[in-house]
Amino acid sequence: MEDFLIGLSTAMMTQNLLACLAGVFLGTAIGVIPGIGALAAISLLLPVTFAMDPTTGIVMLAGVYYGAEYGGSTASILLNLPGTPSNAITCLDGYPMAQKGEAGVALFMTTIASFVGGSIGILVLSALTPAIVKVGMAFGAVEYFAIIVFCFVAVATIGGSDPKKNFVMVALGALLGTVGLDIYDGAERYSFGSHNLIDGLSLVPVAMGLFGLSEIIMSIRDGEQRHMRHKISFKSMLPSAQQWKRSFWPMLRGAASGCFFGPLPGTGPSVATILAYANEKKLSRRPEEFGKGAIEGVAAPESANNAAVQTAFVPTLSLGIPGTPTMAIMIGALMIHGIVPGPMLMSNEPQLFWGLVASFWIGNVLLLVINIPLIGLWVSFLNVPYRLLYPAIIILICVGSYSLKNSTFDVLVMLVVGVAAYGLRRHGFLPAPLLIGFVLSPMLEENFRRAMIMGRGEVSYLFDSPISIVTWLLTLGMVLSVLYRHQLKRLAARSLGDTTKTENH
Amino acid sequence: MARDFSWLFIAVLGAAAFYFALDFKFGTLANVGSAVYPLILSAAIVLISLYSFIFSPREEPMPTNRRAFLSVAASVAVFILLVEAVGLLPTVVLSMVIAYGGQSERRYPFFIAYACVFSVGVWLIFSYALNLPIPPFRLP
Amino acid sequence: MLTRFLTLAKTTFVAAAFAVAAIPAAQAEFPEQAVKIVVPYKAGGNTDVIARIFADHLQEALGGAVVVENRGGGGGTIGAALVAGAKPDGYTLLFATAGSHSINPNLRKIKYDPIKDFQPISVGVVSSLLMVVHPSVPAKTLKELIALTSSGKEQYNFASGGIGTLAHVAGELYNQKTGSKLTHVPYKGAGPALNDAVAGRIQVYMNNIPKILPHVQSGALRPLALGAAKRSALLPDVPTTAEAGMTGMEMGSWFGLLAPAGTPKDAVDKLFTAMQSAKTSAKVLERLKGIGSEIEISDSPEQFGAYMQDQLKWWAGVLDNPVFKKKK
Repeated sequence: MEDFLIGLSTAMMTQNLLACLAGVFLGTAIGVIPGIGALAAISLLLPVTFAMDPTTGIVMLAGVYYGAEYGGSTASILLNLPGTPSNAITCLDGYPMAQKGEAGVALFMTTIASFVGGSIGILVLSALTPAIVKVGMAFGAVEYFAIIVFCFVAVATIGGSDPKKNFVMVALGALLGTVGLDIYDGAERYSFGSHNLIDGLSLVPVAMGLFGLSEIIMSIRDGEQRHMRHKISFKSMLPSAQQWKRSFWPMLRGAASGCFFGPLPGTGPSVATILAYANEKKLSRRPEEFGKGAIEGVAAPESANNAAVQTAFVPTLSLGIPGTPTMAIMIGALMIHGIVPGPMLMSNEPQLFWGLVASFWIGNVLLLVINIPLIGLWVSFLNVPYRLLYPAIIILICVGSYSLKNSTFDVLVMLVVGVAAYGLRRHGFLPAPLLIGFVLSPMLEENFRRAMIMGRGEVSYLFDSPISIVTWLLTLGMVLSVLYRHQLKRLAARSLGDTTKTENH
Repeated sequence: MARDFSWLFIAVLGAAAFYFALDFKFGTLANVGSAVYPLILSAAIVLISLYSFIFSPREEPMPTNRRAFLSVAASVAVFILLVEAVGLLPTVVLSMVIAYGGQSERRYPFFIAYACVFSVGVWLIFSYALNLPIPPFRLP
Repeated sequence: MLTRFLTLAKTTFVAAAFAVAAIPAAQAEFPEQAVKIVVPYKAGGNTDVIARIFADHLQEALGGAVVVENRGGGGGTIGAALVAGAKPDGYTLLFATAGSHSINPNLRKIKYDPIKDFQPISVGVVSSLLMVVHPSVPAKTLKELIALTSSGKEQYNFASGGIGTLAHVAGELYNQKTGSKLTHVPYKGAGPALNDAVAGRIQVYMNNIPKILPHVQSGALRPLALGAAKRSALLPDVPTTAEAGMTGMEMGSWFGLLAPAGTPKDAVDKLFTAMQSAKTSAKVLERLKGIGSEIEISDSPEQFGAYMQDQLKWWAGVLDNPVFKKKK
């Protein structure tokens, strides 16, 4: 508590307050631009902080980071343009809500869920950092492999329109995820000699092409029907009492998922949001509404994402080990300022560590204050005629993809993925499973192969730790519960004398 | 019976991926090679899509809007080809005009003016403020 | 509405970027315009941090703007190829590393000649190999570790950030020299590898100093030896590998400044003098120390050239081993 007060006084210093404000404002502004997210925002603004005092610089960069995470969901929801896996999950129900004319409500709930998730994440971060570090240490290849399998099963058992189509999309995404230099035996998989493919495909152009570009092509067609005026009054964006009630528990459960997976360097926000969404769909009494604009499908992942974003600072600061590419840049930023993140940081630089944590609190409140009035502005963009909007969006996602590596190659990836996704979507294939495969499957393969090396080829090594055994049991339980449900349905069907249904599988 | 040829297309993709994966290393159980995982994935893709191609009834695809599709794809392609050669501003204007051709309105003078203003805004944000290394103009 | 938003965003960005943009214009001689240093890795990585420290110093020493541009990808080879083909006027430079100029040229086909296509200026940092073990390993010295691993009893793991990296090569070389059978566990980058080393799933870890240093200082990892000709000021109590009884383990990663071949001598000399002056800059020394690195400036550009050739040859020798070669 004493430490926290030191931190609070550091964070309340005028320059740090201003840095925090500037950071969250810039972060929101950049995050809101489609095609450019937290990763690009931080790497582009990194040089600006070079001349600042270390604490001030880091407070600002951190503000840019979680500010961009706030802002990122805006473009996702309004235009179906996710820049991160977490945003892609928010899109699943956020975009349908926007199309139903509930864009304001969706953004309002996003802001609240982000605030709730972020605040819970900060609480966990400030109270439990040393404990989290210990827990994080207990996770190795075996445990990660078990968790990713659990995650896949959770996603698979929530069902969808056509399981065959979804499976093929996941597998295609997984194949895209294998592209590049293999870390285990140095094979260059599907790189066809191109140096640009050695590092694999970047997430942003894949996500932008998959959702953004294909969406634009499909939306031009129904451009004439898009004349719905979006209401931008404050009252129109307030969720109803029913929507608040439906979002309350999902938000808390999402935050819990975020706080658990966020600090694990091997999983991070993407796993947290995917599981939070899958979990809500499973628990919901109206699973059929998911994907068509269910408010829980916005609240839970958004809360999970922001809780994970805050708790991801635990391994970054206390071990010097980044869980996400964005965190890797944060570590670089610290090192440029001569601060070495690691086990000594908390004791050597308490004013920096706790000052940063305190600035998170302030930053989250600032974000709430900045974002709620801005919702009206963002929603009013939807009233801009689409024929003027979409050419501008195309440019933004092109420049955004270009800015990743300062090369046109990623723009080309975006184009190819976008064209393919358009063709697939026309035939009823959904883009989300492909992205989930692309994000999760490299983790699955990497950890499986590492576990086999560490276990010297013994398959039993995969079940060699309490955490992995528990995770496998949970996975088994989940599979059984789904099978059991089918049997129940069949029993019910039989008792009704309806025999035709059981023929199908 | 009408077939859904998108399945066949995916099966061909999967088969190609399988073929290329045969070149990767297989390894051992104690050091699983890079071929194993892609082989499993692509084999699964081929099996499921062939099954679906043969047994699933054809679903009517959503209608294509050829003009929208071509103009959006061309717009991005123009961006890729020109941005480093002639600079950001002319590329953005040209790409936007091509994209604009994807719908039915034809108010080009107004749109070009709008695209010019937008391109300057993009340049100010990305090149000027965020240090993206693309010059505004470049003589070929 | 769109333009209104852009105006709003624009003014914000301009204000924020003012600090970097408002750099005074240069004098009549070199540099007449901004010097661009291409870092062939991602922003925020180790190389990027070192490059930015030097870029900041060069800006003061040259009296003109020096900007860093990240062109990551292909293990440093994409950015390097870009600079190899750039106009040799001294305004486009490369912050090269052992990865882009000693290791990858020996591992895969690249689009440039690491020696002929470049004009050396000076090395900036040489980071030596540090051998550490997890505290659960009973060995307190390198000799004890060798005794332990070469007995064939312990099935220890060693980690690396990928095939052909310094950590991987060091581990395989250790196996060959001592007849040990440490198992190689590759990771996606040095960060996660270090994580498992700290957690004890990896018992032996050998890599360049910077990222390991804080964990050595906290006691999470035990240092055994430094693979260098002389001890490091960062860890004065750690013996060199030769002192600890093992020869031929002197290796490390280098980071240095290159220009495209054909750059005018005047510009090269100015850049070299500017690099040399970093040795006496308290700011540079302190910043480098903060990230666990020590400055090392070549005696002349020619000497750096000779060093690069030596390194390329040395790595060609150790990488000529079936463990590192692809099948095709």
